[in-house]
Amino acid sequence: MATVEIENLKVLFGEVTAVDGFTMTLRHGEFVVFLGPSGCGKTTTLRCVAGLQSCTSGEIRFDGKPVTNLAPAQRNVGMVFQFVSLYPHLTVRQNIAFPLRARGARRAEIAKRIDRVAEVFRIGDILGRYVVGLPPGARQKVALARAVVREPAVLLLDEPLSGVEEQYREEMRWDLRHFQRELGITTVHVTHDQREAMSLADRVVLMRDGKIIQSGPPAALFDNPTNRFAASFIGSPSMNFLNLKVEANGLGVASDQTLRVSAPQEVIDRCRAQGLNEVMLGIRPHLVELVNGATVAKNVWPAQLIDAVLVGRDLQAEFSLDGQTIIAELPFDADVHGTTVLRLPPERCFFFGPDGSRLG
Amino acid sequence: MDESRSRPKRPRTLPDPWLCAIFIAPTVLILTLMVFYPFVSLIRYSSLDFSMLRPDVTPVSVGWSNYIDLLTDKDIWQRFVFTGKFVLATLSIQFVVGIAAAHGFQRDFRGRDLLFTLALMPMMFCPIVVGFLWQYMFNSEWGMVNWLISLLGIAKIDWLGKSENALWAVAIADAWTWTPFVILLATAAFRGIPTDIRESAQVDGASPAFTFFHVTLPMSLPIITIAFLLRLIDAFKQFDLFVAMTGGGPGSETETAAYSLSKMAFGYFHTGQASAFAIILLVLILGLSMVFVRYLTSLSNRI
Repeated sequence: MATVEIENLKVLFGEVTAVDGFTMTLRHGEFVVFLGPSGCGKTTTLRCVAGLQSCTSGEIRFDGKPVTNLAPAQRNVGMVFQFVSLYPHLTVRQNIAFPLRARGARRAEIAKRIDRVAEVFRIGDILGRYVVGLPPGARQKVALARAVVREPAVLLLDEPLSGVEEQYREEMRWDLRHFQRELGITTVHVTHDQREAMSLADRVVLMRDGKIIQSGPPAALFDNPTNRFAASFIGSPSMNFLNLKVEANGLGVASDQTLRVSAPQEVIDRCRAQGLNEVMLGIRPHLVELVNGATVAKNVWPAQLIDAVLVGRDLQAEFSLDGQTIIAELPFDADVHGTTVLRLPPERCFFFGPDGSRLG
Repeated sequence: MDESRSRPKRPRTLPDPWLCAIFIAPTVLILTLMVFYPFVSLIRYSSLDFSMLRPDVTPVSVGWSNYIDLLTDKDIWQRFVFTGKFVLATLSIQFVVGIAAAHGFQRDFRGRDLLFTLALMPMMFCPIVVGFLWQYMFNSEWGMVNWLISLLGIAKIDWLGKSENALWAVAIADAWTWTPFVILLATAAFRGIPTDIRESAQVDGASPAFTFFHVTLPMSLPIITIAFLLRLIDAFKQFDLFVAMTGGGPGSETETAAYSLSKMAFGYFHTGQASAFAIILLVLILGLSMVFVRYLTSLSNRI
């Protein structure tokens, strides 16, 4: 267990900036997920913490002690790689023993520690087997066991579930959460899967172009995105965005300005202050309401049904609002056909400027 | 156009079994003439008192006595012992130096590709040329090797005149030729190890030496075993270098089993006995190969 401080980390690959001024502090035993599209610098940042990648500038400290210039072996980190990196010529037991043997631990000590992790990860029955032929879920458990057997200061997980088939991934997510709680090791997990991030993290760090876009508890990222990128990256199905026109008497839908938008006064003030003509409204699909029979008013608009699919207990319906698409997640028995009246609860709408910044 | 369309899709041909027979025939013919017939005659000759020089004399069957004579001959055993020592010596040099060099070539340094290409050159020389080259190098009076060690203040060594020295001299020449092969295969094996595995070992706290002996080498074993098997078979039948460097001398002390065999067959023309000798060698090499092939199979089932 340790705190991890990353200060103003910068990594340049030739001309390309992979990580651009990354700063954050991880608390003891915290589960942090680096989330972002591929190429956002999340894996590079993780590799810097592991010591597999040297940084151009910046500093990394474990429990206050700088480790920036230490080799991976000297940092006391455990890591699970994206593609399972178990040693194929060794049995499960020998794989888990490897980090201990590499450091010259005693036999009795090794046996004791293996028994302990085998119990935590429930892999006692496969200790004697070779890795080849084990199911992917079991392999990942072995990889995790090997990473934590030494009780590292920090556990680093580089997309550990991406190689696991969808049907086991859900189960592995729960397992991972429980193991991390049980072991209490400060953990950094890297993923591009926002659902994985949301379900695992104490804190999600959303990255793009080597920078932190937003960092906070999953609920905060979901309910209070800092800009349009954060809003669109998190949530499935993705947030709806509608183009609006700024007029003298308020906001209207860009394609049909007779459809009025209810917006807080501060948003309108900000639009005026910044001299914006166009802004964007964002609303999550599960918040769109169906109000058949209601009269058209602010945020209550008629829309054309394009298509509807039943996904489990939800009806995902796609509507056209004068050419702009709105996806709504409705109860499975919702009555959608032809022209339907939709309501966008004003208190749940976000507003973004043309540059993607949040207006309200 | 129409005509071709109206034709059946498959052109009329011979029935499949006939086609197969026609395609296989040349190979079967060549194999029969070059392998099967000689092999059967070899077995037959091995039970006869027969010499190729006197085809008019009707060969007399002697049963197992050719084998018994050979296996009870102390000189022949000496040849096997010498061959064994030579194989051990040359393979040790080849694999220690070859694997070490391949490990060195894993690192990125300036001029690596050029050096790698140069390192592979010896393998491309004609064996008899290599033999004469090294014979000059090891010449006790004006050879390069003795000149070099005289610089170190060591007395001249009679490299090719004494059988213990000659064994090492030829082993060094053989290793010089074939270490590149080991470098090549070991490099291929090392490069085949995934980056994730290497990095995993780093994070696990393994030192470079620990990683090499506990990860890199064991994971490369299947390919290195194949290299070993090929080198073993080749070293066992080494002949050219001894012809060029020692001529089997002094006496016949530096004759390998293969050398003795060739003398017996084409020097003295004891065709019957030489056939028995060849079969003993064949059985020996087959036996050794099978041990390694078994081991290889057990390895590849895991990795």
